[in-house]
Amino acid sequence: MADAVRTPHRQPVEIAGLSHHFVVGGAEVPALDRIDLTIEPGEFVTLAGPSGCGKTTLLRLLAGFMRPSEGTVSVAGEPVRGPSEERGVVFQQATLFPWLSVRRNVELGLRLRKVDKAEREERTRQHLELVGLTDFADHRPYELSGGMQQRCQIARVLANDPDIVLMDEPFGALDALTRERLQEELLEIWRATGKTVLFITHSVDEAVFLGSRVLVMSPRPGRIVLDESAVLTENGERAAPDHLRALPRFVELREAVREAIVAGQQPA
Amino acid sequence: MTDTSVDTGAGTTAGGRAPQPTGGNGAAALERRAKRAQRLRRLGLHTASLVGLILVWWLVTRLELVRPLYLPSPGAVWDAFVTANTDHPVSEGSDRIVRGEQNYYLWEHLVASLQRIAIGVAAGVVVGVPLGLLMGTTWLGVLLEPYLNFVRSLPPLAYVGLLIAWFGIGDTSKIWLLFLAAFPPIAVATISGVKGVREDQVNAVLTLGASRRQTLTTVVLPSTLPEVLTGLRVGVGFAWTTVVAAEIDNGIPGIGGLAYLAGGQLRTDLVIACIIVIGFAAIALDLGLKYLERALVPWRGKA
Ligand SMILES: Nc1ncnc2c1ncn2[C@@H]1O[C@H](COP(=O)(O)OP(=O)(O)OP(=O)(O)O)[C@@H](O)[C@H]1O
Ligand SMILES: [Mg+2]
Repeated sequence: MADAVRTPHRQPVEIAGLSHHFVVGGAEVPALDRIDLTIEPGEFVTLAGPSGCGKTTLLRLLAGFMRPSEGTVSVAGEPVRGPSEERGVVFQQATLFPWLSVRRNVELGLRLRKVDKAEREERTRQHLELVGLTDFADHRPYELSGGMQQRCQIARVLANDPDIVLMDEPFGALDALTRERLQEELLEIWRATGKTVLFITHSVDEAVFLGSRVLVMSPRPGRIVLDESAVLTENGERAAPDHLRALPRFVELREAVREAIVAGQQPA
Repeated sequence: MTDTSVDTGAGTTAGGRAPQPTGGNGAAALERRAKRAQRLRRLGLHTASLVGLILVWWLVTRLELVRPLYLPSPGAVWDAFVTANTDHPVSEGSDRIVRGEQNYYLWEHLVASLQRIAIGVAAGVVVGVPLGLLMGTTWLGVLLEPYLNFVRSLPPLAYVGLLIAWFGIGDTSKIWLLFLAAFPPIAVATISGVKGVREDQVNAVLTLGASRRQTLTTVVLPSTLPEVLTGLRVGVGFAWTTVVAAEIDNGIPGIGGLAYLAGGQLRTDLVIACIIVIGFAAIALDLGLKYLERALVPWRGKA
């Protein structure tokens, strides 16, 4: 689908000894507990875990929106010091700009980076079509439904072509059909461009279906309690969705992920 | 503008596109008609209340419940208004013809005041918005906030004498006074607007590759705009309430100066005519600003 405009970097995302707590009313609320994780370039990492376990916190630390209480986050060997265009973020709550039309929102990154007009328009058109918002290009974000806003946000991030895509429950507000179609498109883009993806989801099925690697976090303070590689292919080719879901390895992994989430929630 | 038939995208099929945002000119026309009806009802209400008020006023003066010096009749006020806008004899039976009041027509007094207000408020925007931006984002806020609150709380009459001593009795001191009235609310509103910028909107634009400067122009300024416009409306309001103080000395032409002068001569009919003109001009100006607000910030309250 999208052409690789820039060559993705070939260096990993490294998280070492990462802990984070928030201070709420003078008390420390631990959110993340000593996380060590290396994400290889080109991996599609899905992250699941109970609500409030610290998934968004981890993503925000990777994005550079805040400093960790302890430990380090580095990309390509460089410590993360703040947000950057190489790490695109699809927020859990869509953060579109109401003073811009849907089209302007989607092309914003390209405008900021002064990509020339023809390419900008072409990429914007492609990505509006990708998320099915072509007919709403001239609407304002607040005139869209929640799911449409989420799709607009996805288009805005993908159009800007970041090497690393951080997505926080991007398909949460979508109906089953749109969701399936976008899952396919996202996989397609990932395969074509070799981007590194971190994808947070509440759906066990989605985590296993999309991920080349699946992570599960324990309840707050979050730790990684499951880390499985899940390259679900058949004869070197990715199987068709229905077929894939019937593979023994898929079913097995789905059960393992479900159990890891459940085990965390009821400490026995 | 909200089209009720806009789909949530729930019907989007694999490979298909979102449904068309068509959806019945019928519904849109219906909504337009409902809006027009509402506007008409509101206009009717305002007209009725105004007519009622004038009627009561007229009755009170007609029944001579109050001495005409305290409350002249609507007719007398109207006469004063007409006289002030025309050439007329100095006094009954005299052949000396004078122009309006104090050699200016009433509308010329109004225009003179409007000009001063426009310059004062424009200066208020030019100074208040950048200052508010700086105060909202840097340590300058901590430093300057007490001073801003100090200026804000002063009654204009308290320092008009000082301004006249500094800048003379001409227009400069008047414009300074109007500026000092209009600029604090604009600065304060800008500060609160900057502080209200959503952190994740800034984060979002940074992840899209914005520089500091681009962040300012693409996110901070537009999301501060609604508050700035509110501050502007408040500032214009303050300027109006200050206009009499500004024109107390050597304020002719000027509607505030004229009202003050007429009061000194116990010409209450002219005072009331001036008050009504000031009131209507202020309402008209505020309506214009409200319209500007709606045009520039259509997202207000929606996102
Ligand atoms: N800004 C904040 N201030 C204080 N506490 C916070 C803040 N953000 C998160 N927390 C706390 O940190 C914990 C982890 O929050 P986080 O948003 O990372 O959870 P999550 O896994 O993304 O949950 P969900 O799946 O519901 O989105 C929560 O218990 C929350 O109380
Ligand atoms: Mg979250």
